[in-house]
Amino acid sequence: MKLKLKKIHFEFKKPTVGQWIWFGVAVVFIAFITYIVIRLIPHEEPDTTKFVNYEYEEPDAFFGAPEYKLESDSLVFELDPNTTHFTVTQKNTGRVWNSNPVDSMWDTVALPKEQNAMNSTLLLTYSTENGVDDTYDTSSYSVDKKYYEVLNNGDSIQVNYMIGDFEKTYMIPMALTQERMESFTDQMTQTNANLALQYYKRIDIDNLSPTDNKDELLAKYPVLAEDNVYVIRDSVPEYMKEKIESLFADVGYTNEDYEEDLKMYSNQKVEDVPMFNVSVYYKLEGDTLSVEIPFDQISYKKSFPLVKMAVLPYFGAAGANDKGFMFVPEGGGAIINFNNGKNKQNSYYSDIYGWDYAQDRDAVVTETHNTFPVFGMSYGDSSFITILEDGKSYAGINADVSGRLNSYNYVYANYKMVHFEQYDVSDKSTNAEFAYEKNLPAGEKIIQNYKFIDSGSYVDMAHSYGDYLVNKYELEPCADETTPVNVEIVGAVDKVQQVMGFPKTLPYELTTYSKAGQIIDELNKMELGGEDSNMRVKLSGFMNGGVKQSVLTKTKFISALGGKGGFKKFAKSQKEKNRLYIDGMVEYAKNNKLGDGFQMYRDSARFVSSELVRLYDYSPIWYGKDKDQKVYYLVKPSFAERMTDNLKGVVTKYGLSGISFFDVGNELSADYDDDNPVSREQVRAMQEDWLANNGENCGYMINGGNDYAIPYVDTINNMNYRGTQYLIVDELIPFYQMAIHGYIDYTGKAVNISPDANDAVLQAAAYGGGLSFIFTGSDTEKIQDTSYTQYFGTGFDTWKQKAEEIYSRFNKELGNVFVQKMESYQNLSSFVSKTVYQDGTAVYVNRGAEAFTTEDGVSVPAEDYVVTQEEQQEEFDE
Amino acid sequence: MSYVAVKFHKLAEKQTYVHFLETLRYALHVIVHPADGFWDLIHEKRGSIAAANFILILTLLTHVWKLQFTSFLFLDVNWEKVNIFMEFATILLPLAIFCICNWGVTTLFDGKGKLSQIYMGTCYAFTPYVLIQIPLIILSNLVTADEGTFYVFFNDASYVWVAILIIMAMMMIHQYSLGKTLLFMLASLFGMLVFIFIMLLFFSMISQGVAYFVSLGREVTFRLN
Repeated sequence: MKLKLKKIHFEFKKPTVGQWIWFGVAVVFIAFITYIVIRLIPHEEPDTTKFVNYEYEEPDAFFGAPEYKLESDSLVFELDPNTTHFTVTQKNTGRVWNSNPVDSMWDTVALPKEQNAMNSTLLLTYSTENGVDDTYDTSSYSVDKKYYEVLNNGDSIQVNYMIGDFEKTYMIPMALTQERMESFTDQMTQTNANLALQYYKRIDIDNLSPTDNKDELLAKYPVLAEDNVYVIRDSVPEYMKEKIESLFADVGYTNEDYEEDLKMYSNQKVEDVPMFNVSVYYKLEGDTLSVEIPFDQISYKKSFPLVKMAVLPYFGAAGANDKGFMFVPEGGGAIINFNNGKNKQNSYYSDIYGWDYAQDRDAVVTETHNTFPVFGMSYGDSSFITILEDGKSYAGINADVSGRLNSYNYVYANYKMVHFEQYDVSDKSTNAEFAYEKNLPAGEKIIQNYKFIDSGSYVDMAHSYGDYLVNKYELEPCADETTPVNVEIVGAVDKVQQVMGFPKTLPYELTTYSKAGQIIDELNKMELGGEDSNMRVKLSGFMNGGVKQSVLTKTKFISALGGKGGFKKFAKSQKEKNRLYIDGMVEYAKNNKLGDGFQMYRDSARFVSSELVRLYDYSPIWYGKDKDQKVYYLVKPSFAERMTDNLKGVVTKYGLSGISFFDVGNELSADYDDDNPVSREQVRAMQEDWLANNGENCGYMINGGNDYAIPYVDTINNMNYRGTQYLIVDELIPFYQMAIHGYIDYTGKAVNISPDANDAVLQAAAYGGGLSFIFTGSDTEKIQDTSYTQYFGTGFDTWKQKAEEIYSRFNKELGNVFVQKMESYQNLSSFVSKTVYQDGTAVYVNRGAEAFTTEDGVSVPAEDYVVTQEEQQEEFDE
Repeated sequence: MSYVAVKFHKLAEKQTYVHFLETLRYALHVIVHPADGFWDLIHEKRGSIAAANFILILTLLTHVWKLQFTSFLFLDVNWEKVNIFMEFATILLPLAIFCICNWGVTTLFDGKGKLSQIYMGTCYAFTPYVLIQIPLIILSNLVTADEGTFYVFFNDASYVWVAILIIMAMMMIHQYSLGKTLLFMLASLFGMLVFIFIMLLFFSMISQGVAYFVSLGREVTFRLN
């Protein structure tokens, strides 16, 4: 059979449009894949961080050691250059404060590592790339090795540390050509030249020893073909290196020369070890020692990022026999007595301004939140408080009593430096990856001001902080001699409702706009909101879907409450006695829907890992993220600013009195977006800006009351008086309140939804706070099956009578104290406290279940308060 | 003339409605004479798909009305969370799966029914549900908890009646004996389980496949940073 071969022949056809398009798509696709693959190829950028090799030279005893001493009116600061420890002496009381415990070497409890920490002025915690942390102290990793220097700049003393576990580098040539070597040795004397050359191996390509491999050497030093090469020998003793270094230094061998020669010395094993440069400045001013650490002078290797830094961790640390207490800023303030023996409890830790939500957490057991960045220590006759200034929002306060790690009681601030995030790359791989912030925020620094007080009383410590606040922010004393009252009216909550056969989450009316108007009118007729009263009304859940507010770039009034027209009418009717603050949440985007102005990829803040900051509420039962709840986002600070501006617009448009912020002034979160990071300190400054720039007379009401917001706000709501009552704490005191009372109005949690309404009133009496209520206009049983059952007790009709009674008694007895400073405070027993004001008004509060009679004969009934005036007190004195 | 146009054209004719009402009225005959009734329904063409659809719609509505209007003494429903799509699906999905599985099984074993006939027969069998449940909804709001026995009895009776009718319908449609019918009812129930299992498997596979690409994308975005 004849095989018939078909002739294959190609005919070139002109490609159709479709083929061109496909071709184009294919090219783009291939280009895209190639781009990604190229990007994915790991490329090591050399770490170009510059380190300065400080070196401490012991002063020549013959010439007399230089003094490192600063002096002010009330303090003397002396630094020992051999240890970098220092003392501060209070001239008035003679109390000497040591930066480090003097007898730590004999501490039997402390392990050697702990003893080193106790001898250190800084503790640096670094992380490795697989997320393992370790801590270097300045004592064993810098001072003992003499890698530091102390400088006296006149008005300040500067200590530069080089901290690390590395061998010292000497400025000697590592490998160089004979010609270059001779250019140096020719300048030396013959003996010295011989001495130096003795430690170098001369490689001559034409005259190799039998063990040398010619090709290998040529590959290593291509220059060998032209000239001989000198290479430093492997085992040069340290003292000889030092000697040779000085020989080369004499003939003008510089750092640049060293770097140059290092290039040739390719067989050097560069061991990658953690290495840090930190500079600390000490300054004295009046009664204040200021400790400053500029971020720009901190260096660390990229492979060992500095994640935490404790500053002066053992300053003033009290030994096992000392009497006194430590002060921590928990709630309004808390006292931990020295050696209270509670070392079975957790040590104290709390974040200043609470959690930074741009850092992920898997679980939350308790939130820690300090509203003011102060801690202190008192020894009966003298005390100090440390006010954190710059960098305070990175700080957390640590405190512990003796007996756990060592025999000392100590309190200090630990700063989060380089933020990092763990992330799972894929479902398939199990090893965790860590992403680190690229740099420390440029230009920022840490400043801690130690203010020394010639008294050991926490009252004086608090007043000292108060003076600081008043001077710094130029606070004006309050003028209104009546009890401040914050009334919150809840408009709508979200509730699942049946719409045409489908369950839908919709705003559900608790108080319509017109009903809110009626409530306020009624309050105005009562004493609570009457002519002379100091009442402010917070309107929460009045727009954008209710209490769980949707993104505020646009204002949408709730039709179920009366719509835009209803609100307009309501605002107009209230114009006369304008006290309305519209509540808004600007840091978060909840209920995100398409077209509400929030685009998550553009407007959401990001974790260090570049993921969007998706937030969930944490389950109170198993502490983890409750992913059944709807996700919400932390927004970029710039986006939050847009929401703030919109709120300001609402205030102006409807003639309201101001804004009540749900979050600003209370919660503070950074944005670690790679392209445009905004540090937590920068966000704090932005928040201050928003509050300071009050446009057309827009007032502010905030929750919690972070210290930086105080100068700009009218009133603080929901102040947490007693904080989280950690067991290590011995006593709770109104430290913050003593500092700010009489300068700003503040109230605690709403009386009528507190677990114990009477107790809420008693706390307000003890802490000098005003009263706060939450009211709604509707039948509150309708809120069953919603997540707002906390509002059950808010029915206005049921509560107005009781609120009026509470207020009229409170105001009659305590109204006049709100313009005065809080003079003193004392816990008479674990339940009974005594608060005294400038004019002598004394408030005795008994939170216990039994009546109490004080030493000066005032009998305080159980769960009640008694107010005595000065006159009365004198009677008792007689 | 296209198929759709023909259908629309038919809507204009009076005959269409007369036929619809006749076939619908036949449902009342079928429920009390199931043997004759289902035989004639199929073989004498006395039923129609339109009437079957109508009965099905009534059944769905009755189900929703029952949820909404039955006294809380007898039925505790959180009406605000009821989603009628979900409620419809609880009837429609099993019905669809049953029809398909039953047809699939019986076709292999001499069943004479077509898919449309199985569907029609099953829908006609729902008639007592509608007829009994609607009065029951009203009744539930009139009786006390003690008199609830009546409610419970009629409620259960409606289900039993529907079950009997379905079995009779299958018997007549496939021209099976009673024993064979029962056997293949069991077989189709088993078939439904297999059907659901395979469906779940299918969706799970698909989502695994999608998840693979999602995690690939995630990894790439992480690595790019």
